[in-house]
Amino acid sequence: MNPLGTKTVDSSKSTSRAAVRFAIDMVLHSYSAVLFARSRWMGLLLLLATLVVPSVGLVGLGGVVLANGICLALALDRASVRSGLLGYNALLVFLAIGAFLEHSPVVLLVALAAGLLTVLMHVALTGALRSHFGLPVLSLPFVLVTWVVLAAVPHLKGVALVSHPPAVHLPALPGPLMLDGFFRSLGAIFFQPHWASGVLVLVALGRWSRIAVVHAMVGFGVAWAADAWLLHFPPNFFHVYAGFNVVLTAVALGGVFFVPGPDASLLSVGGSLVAALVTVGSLSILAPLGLPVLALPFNLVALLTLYALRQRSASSRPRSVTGRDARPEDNLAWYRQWAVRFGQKDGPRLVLPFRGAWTVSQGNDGPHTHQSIWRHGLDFEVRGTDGRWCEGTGDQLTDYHCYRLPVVAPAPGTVVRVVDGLPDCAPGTADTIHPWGNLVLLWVGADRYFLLAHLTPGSIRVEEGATVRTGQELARCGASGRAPRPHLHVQLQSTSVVGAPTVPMGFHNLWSPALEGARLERYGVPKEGQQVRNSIIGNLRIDWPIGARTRWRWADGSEPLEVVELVSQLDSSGQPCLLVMGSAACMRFEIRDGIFYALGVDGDHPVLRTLYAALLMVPLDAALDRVGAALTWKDTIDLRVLSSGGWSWLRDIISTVVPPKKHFVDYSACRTPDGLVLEGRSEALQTAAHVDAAGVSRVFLELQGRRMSLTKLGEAP
Amino acid sequence: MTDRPPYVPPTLVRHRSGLMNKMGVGPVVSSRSSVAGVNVEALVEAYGSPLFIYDEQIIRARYRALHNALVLRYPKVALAWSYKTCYLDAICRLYHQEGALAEVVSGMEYRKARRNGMTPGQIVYNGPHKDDQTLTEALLGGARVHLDHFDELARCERIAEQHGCRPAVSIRLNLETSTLPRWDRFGFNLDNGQARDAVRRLLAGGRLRLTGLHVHLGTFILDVRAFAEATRKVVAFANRLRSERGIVLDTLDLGGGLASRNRLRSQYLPSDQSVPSFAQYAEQLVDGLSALDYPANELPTLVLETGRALIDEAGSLVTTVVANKRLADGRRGMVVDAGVNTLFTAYWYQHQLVPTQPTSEPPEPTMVYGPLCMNIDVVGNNVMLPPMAVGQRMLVTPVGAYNLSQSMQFIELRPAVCLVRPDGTHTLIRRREVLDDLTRAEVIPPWLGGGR
Repeated sequence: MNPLGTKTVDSSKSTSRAAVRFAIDMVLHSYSAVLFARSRWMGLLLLLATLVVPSVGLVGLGGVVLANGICLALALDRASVRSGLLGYNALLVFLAIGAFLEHSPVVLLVALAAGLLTVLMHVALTGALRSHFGLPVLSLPFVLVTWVVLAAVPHLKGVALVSHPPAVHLPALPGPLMLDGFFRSLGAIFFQPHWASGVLVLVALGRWSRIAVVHAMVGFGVAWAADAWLLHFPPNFFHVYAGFNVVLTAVALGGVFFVPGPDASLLSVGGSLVAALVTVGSLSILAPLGLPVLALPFNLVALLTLYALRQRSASSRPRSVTGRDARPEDNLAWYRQWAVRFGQKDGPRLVLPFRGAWTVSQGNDGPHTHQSIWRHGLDFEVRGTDGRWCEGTGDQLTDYHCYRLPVVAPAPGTVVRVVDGLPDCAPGTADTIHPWGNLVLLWVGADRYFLLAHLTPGSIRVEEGATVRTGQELARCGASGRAPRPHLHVQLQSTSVVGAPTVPMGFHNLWSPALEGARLERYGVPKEGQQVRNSIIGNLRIDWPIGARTRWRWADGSEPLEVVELVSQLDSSGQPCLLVMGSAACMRFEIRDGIFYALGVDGDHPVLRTLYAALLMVPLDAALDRVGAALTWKDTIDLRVLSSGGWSWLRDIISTVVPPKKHFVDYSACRTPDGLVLEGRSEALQTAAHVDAAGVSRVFLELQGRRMSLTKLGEAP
Repeated sequence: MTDRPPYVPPTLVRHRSGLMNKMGVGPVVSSRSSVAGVNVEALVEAYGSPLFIYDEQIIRARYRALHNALVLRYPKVALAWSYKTCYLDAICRLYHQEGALAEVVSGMEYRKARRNGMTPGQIVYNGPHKDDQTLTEALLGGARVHLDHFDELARCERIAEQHGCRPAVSIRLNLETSTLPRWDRFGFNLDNGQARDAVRRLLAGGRLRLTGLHVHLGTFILDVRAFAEATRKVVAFANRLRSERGIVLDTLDLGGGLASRNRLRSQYLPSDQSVPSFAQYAEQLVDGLSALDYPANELPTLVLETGRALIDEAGSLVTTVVANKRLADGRRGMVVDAGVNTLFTAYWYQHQLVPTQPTSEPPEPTMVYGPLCMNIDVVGNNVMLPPMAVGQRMLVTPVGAYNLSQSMQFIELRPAVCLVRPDGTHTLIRRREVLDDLTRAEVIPPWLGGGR
C-alpha cells in the first residue's frame, strides 16, 4: 500500500507472490533445518519423508505452520523465520505429538500450548546459550517441550498415549538387515522408522552434502556395532530407535561444526562412541521416569564437544567453524581459501605499527632485552641509505632517523593504558627505573594486548578508553625508558599488565623491500635486520565499484567468441563479488591493503574460473609502480573451482579421510610501461593477466589443454 | 740626452714555502676531474663544450630520499615532477620511471607530459593559463586540474556542460604565512574568505566536483615553519569543508618550493648550513596533517610538486676558459664559453666554480664572465680561482634546475646535455644545437629573398 492508501494491481500481485514465497521458504526451511541445512529441495524431500505415515506427518506440517505463525505474530526476526531456524523445533515437537498421542480434540489444545512453549523456549534458550556460551540451541527445546507434554499426559482428560505405532504397509527392503536398519534409523529422526522415509531422508541429505552422508554412514556403523557386540538390548532396538542420535552426532562433528578432514572424521567417530554411551546411559536414567530419550544424547554430546573444543586457540585442528549455512563442503572450501591462504597462527590481524619501511634492530630472542618472558618483543628503527641508524655523529636525538616519526595503531582496538611525561634519554643513556618509558597499551580483541613503548613525551594523542582504528596515529617514536637510542619497541601480551609475558606476534601483508627483489609475506614474524613495511597502495587500481558493469570478449579454444557482461555486487553476507550477467555464478573478491584477492567462485562459469585463477592475488603495491620492478610469490589455489563437474564431490568425500592436497601456483608480477603483467604457472595450469591504469584489461588461462581468454571491451552503459 | 737603457720588467716569483711562509698559508682550491666516476675531459671530447652533465644516480637517490622521508610520516604520498624545472624528455621519463606524476603549468607542458606516456590521470595541471583543448582533455580524462581563478572555474563548468559530465577539480589557495612573501596573484585567498566563496560558487554551479586543495607557497623556501603554518591552515579549511558541506577530499597538494643545496647571492651562510634536509621539510609538512578529521583509511593523498630540490644537485656544467684578462682596477677576469644565456640562474645564485685540473697555484679573486657581449653576463663574482690557461675546463655546480628550461638561444646556441649512468656509461640526451635549430620556425617573405 502506498501512503495515499490506494493499492495498485501490480504491487498487490508482487506482494502476494512475495508472501507466498516467504511462506514456502518458511515451511521448507524448517524441515531442512533439522539436518543443519537451509535448502528448499531438501525441505521438500524431508516433508515427503514425514508423510510416509500421514497421520504423523500432517500433524508435523500443521505444527510448523502454527509455530511460524506464532513467531510472526510475536514479531520475531523475519529473516530467522524465513530460514527455518524458528520452526524446526516445533516441527519435531509436533511430529512427536503426532507419533505418541492418540488424536483427539483435547490434543489440539495441548498442541497449541506446546507450540507456543516451543517458540518461547527456543528464543529464550538461544538468547542465553548464544550470549553466554556462544553455542547454538540445536534441538534442546524440542526435547524439553516433548518431555513436558509427555509428563503431563497422565493428568490430562481425553489424552492418551498411542498404544502401538501406526502400521505402514510397505514391502520389506531387500538386502542386508543393516541397510534396512540404517534407513529406519534415518527415518526415526522424523519419527518415521520406516525404510521408505529413511530413503527420502538419505536422498535429501545426499543432495545437500555428500560428506554428511559419509559421516552418517560411519555414525550408523558405530551404533550398529555397539548394538551388535556391546549392548544388552532387544535386537534392532538401539540402532533403530535411538541410533539416530549417533548418526546426528557423527554428521555434526564430522563436517557441520568442524572443517571436514581426517581429524574431523576421527572426532566424529569418537563422538559417535560417546553419543552411544550417553544414549545408553540416558535410556537407563529416563526409563523409570517414563520419558523417551529423544534427541537428548545428540544435543548433549554435540554441545559439549563444541564448547570444550572452543577453549583451544582458533587454529587448532580440527578447526571449529562458526557460521550459519553449515554445509560441510562449504566449510571445507572456506577453510581451503581462507585459513590456508590467509591463515595465521593465533590472535588478531596485526599490521606494522608505523609508516614506511623500518628495520628490526632487535628481533625475537634478541641478545639485549628480548629474553625469557619478553622473548617475543620486536624493536624497530629506521636505517639510512648508508646503513646507519643515525646521520652525523649520533650525539643528538634528532640525528636518528626514527626520532619523532609517527607510530600508528596495528589493529582496531581500545586504549587501556597510557603513560606519558617521561623525558627522552640522551643517546647512550637509559632510564632503568621506568624501563618501558612513555607507552600506549591497546586491547586488540580476545585476550590480546599490544604494547608500544619508548615514545617521546607529549606526543601521545589518544586517551585511555579511546577506540582507535588501524593506521590511526597514536604517538611519536622517542627514547624514553630503557632506550640508549631512539627506537620503537612492540610486543603482544595476553594480559593488560604493562610488561606482562609476551605471546608470539606476527604481522599481515609484510613487504620486505630488498635490493634483489621485494618479498611479500601474507603473514610473518620479521627477523632481526629485516627491513619491512606495510602494503602501500600504488598508482594502479583494480576498481570494481558496486554496480559497475563491464563488457568482455570471451574466447574459449573450442567455442566461438562471445561477449559477456560482468557486474559487481554485494552478496548476501556483504562480500563484494563479480557476477556474470545471465548466470547465477559469482566470484567473491576482496581488496585489502592495496592487494586484490580472488576468494572463490560460487556456482560454475568458465569466465569466472579464468578470472579466479589469473587474479588469485594481484599485488597493487607502490613497490610495483616503478617500471622494471618485479615480485614473485606462491599461492594456493582451490582446485574444486577449476575442475567443474561430477568428480569434485568424490574428491570432497575422500577429503574426509585424506587431507586435501594444497595446489601451489608460482606467480610473478612485473611492471612494464603499459602496466602490470602477472603470470602464474603450476603443473596443472598457466595463467596471465594484464592490469593497466584502467584496471584489468586481459586475462588468460590454459588448463588441461584448453586456452581461455578474456579481453576487456569497455564499460557497459 | 743620454740613452736610456731598455726597460726590463722585474721577475716576480711567488714564495712557495708552504707552511713555512710567514705570511700564512693561502686558501687552497679544490678541483674535480670527474662526475659520477666519469672523466670530464672524456665527456667534453665526446660531446663538446660547454656541456651539461646529469648524474642519474643522484636523480634517483634524491627522489627516493624525498619519497622515503614522506612515506615514513604519511601513508598516502605521491610526488609530482615539476616539468618546468627541466624539460628534457629523458629526465622527465626518468622521474616517471621512479613513479612520479607530472606537474605541468601550461598547455605545452601538458602535451609534453602526454607524449612522455603520462595518462591524464597522472598529470597535475596548474597554472593561470590553460588552453581550451588541453583543459578539456584534462577534465574529461581525470587529470588533477587546479583552478586558479573564477574565470577558469566558469570555463570548466562550460566544458562540463558541453560534454555532459561532472569532472573532479581542485582549487588553488594562497595564504599568509608569518615569514614568506604572499603570492596572492595565484589561486583564491584563504584568509579573506575568497576560497570559501570559490567553494560555494563551485557547489552552486553543480557541474564540478571538488576533490582536492592545492597550495604553493613560493620558491626556494628555507624556513620550514612556513610549511607547517600553511599545512595547518589548509587542514583547518579541509576539516571545515568536510563538516559543513560534506566534501570529502582525495588530494591535498602542498606544492613545492623546497630549496636545493644552492646558495643565493644574498645568502650569507653556506647551503649545507641553511638548507633544511628532506626529513625536516617532511616533518613540518606532515605535522599539520595529523589534525585531518578523516578516518585512517580515507586520508587524502599528499601530493608534492618538487623540482629544484630533486634535480639541482644532479646537474653540472663543464665550461672551457676562453680568455684571461686583467681588469682596469687590477682584478683578474676570465671569459668562459657559457654565460647567462646558458646559466640563467646565475642571476640569483652563487654557483660553485671548480677547475677540473688539480693545481697548487694559489688562487686569486676572479670575475668569471660569459661569452656574451653584455655587461650583465657574469657567471662568477670574485670567485677564488687559481690561474687557468686558455682551454682548461671548469665545472659549475649545481645547475640541474631551471637552467635548461630557461636557457636562451641568444648570441650562442644551446649546448649538448649528457646523462651519466651509475655503471659509468654516458649517453647524449640532447645534442648541441646547430643554426637550423634557431631558424627552423622562420619564414622569409619573398620580397626578401625567400622562395618558399
